[in-house]
Amino acid sequence: MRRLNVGPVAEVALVIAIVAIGKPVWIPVTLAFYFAFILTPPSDALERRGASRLVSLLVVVGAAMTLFLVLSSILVSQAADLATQLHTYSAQINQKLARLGGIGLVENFRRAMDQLGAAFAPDSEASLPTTAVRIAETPRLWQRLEEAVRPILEPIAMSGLVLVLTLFVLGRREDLRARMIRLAGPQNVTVTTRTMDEAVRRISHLLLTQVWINAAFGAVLAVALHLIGIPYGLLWGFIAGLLRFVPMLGAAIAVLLPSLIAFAIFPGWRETACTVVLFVFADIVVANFVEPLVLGRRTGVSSLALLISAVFWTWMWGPVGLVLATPLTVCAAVMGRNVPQLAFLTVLLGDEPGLNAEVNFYQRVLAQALRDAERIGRAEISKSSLASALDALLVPALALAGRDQNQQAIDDATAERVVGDVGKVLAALAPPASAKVAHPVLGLAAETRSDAVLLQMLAMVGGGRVEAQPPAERAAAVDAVVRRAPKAVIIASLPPAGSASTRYLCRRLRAQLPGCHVVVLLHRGVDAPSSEAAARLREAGATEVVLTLGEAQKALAALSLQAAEAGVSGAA
Amino acid sequence: MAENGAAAITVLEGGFDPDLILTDLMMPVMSGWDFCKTLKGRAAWRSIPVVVLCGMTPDQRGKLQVEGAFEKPTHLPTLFGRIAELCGV
Repeated sequence: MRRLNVGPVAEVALVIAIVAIGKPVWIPVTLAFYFAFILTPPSDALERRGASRLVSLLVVVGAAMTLFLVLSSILVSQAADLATQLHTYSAQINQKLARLGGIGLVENFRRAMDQLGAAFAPDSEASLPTTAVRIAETPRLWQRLEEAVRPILEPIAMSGLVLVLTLFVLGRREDLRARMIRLAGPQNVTVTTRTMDEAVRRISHLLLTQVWINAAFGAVLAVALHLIGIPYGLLWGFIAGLLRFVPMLGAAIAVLLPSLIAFAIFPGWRETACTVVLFVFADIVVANFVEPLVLGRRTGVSSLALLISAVFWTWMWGPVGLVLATPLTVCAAVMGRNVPQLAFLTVLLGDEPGLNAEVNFYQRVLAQALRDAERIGRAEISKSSLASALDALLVPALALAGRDQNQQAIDDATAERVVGDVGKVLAALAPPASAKVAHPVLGLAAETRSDAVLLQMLAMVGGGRVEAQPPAERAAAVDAVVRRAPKAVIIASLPPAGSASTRYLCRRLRAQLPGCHVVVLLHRGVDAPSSEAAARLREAGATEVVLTLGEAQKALAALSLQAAEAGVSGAA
Repeated sequence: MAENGAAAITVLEGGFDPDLILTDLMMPVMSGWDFCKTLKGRAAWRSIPVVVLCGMTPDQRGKLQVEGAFEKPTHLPTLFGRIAELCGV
């Protein structure tokens, strides 16, 4: 009886349990590493200018702390002021909603605002229903002290812990890196060191740049909101900058509160609309222009992975998890790209396609999803050309089918069906060339059905310059060609199947038609071209060996030109 | 030159690309019959012509999917002629 392998599931469950249970430990450690990554580039820059480690640490961490204290004092005062004003705003929102009428959704929202206003109203206790409570025991002095001091002490203790840990991580970063290298394996220290250095440098650069971009995003919004006339602009700007770490949804969540405030305090809709447009416009500009320009083409992490990560870390660690989700995901993806043992992370989190284009096309044909295959083919043609698309997708699909058939991953019938389906997709992508030239090149398929489909492709890209011979047994095929005595022949061959037949055709044609120009299209499909195979074909009598349909197209054009010139000189 | 059918299969799997295979039937490890069956069962090798050289009559060697079969002692010009024909020389 087959036993269920629960190993990986148990491992994942164990990791989740460790992350969830160890939350009080992991949050300060993760924050410390996050800040260390961000502060490493400025610290390095100071050290390059001659500052000692201690001086660079004091300057960088001191500047960050000052910025944090100034910003947090302003934000806390704005948040406190907002809390006292919230019942006023909710009452104003309520009045406006009442004027809009009793539409279901609006009515629900109005009730929610009612409750919010009541909760924040100074005399809200009077309006709430009362419940008799019997106090059994007066709390002791230390309990009352603890209750009073805990809300203040906890954040201070956490901040202090994060600060100390950041100082240690930043101060001993080389030592920590060396330990990581030792963990990764001492076999190839040079390569591991280089990859780790590169990974750390990229993560630092990426995180610092993202912090700057989001800070600039928040600052611009704060100024713009202030200009619109919405109070607490700095607070909204800070929240917007923080929430921008959450892809796609961040800006949408951040716009809610300032637009509600705008809705409450202004009589019309203009300011509310301006606020929404401002957030949407700023997010589009940053996501589509600023980030690609500053960070390069992309961050290398898929948006879906970032969203799932945001959900996961928020579930695990709450709001801190939401803020740390993107940096953690980016770190994991970059490590996956640089450390071979973690390569699976790149596949899971990276924004590269799950499969190569040719494998994706082959997989769609194998799954008989020919419409999908056609769509992939059309997309490739629109990016390049018909010949390039066939070289990049359809021929590799034939080669992959041949390889799978040889490795007995698919049976002969499936391989035949795939080849036939590639032919159908080919016919749908490009109709056969109808125009004919005066002296077409005779086309021969080396042996297999794949070779015949390759010949069809050749006829299509050749634009009427190729006249395909009907399939026949190889000796009969040679006799048929010899009877027509052409000036040029092109043989379509997709190795490894049929390579002996291709050489046979070359030898016989060379022997029986000495003046004939024999071109072999030796397409390698997905493998690198073999110079030895091409040399053996030349030895067997091939005049020219081309390796792609693009090269074959050029060779055919050259042959047509020669034939035309010969025709003109013959007529003269 | 491969010592038996199994060795020949190993050589072919290594990427050797012959124009023709000349084989005996009575071989250790993998016989000529099994070798021919394996060869013709793989799409990549199906087109390689096979010529069998053995000390058996057609009845004794049975039905073989090969391009040529010769009894020992063999008339060499005939054998070479067939090989040249199959190779297109």
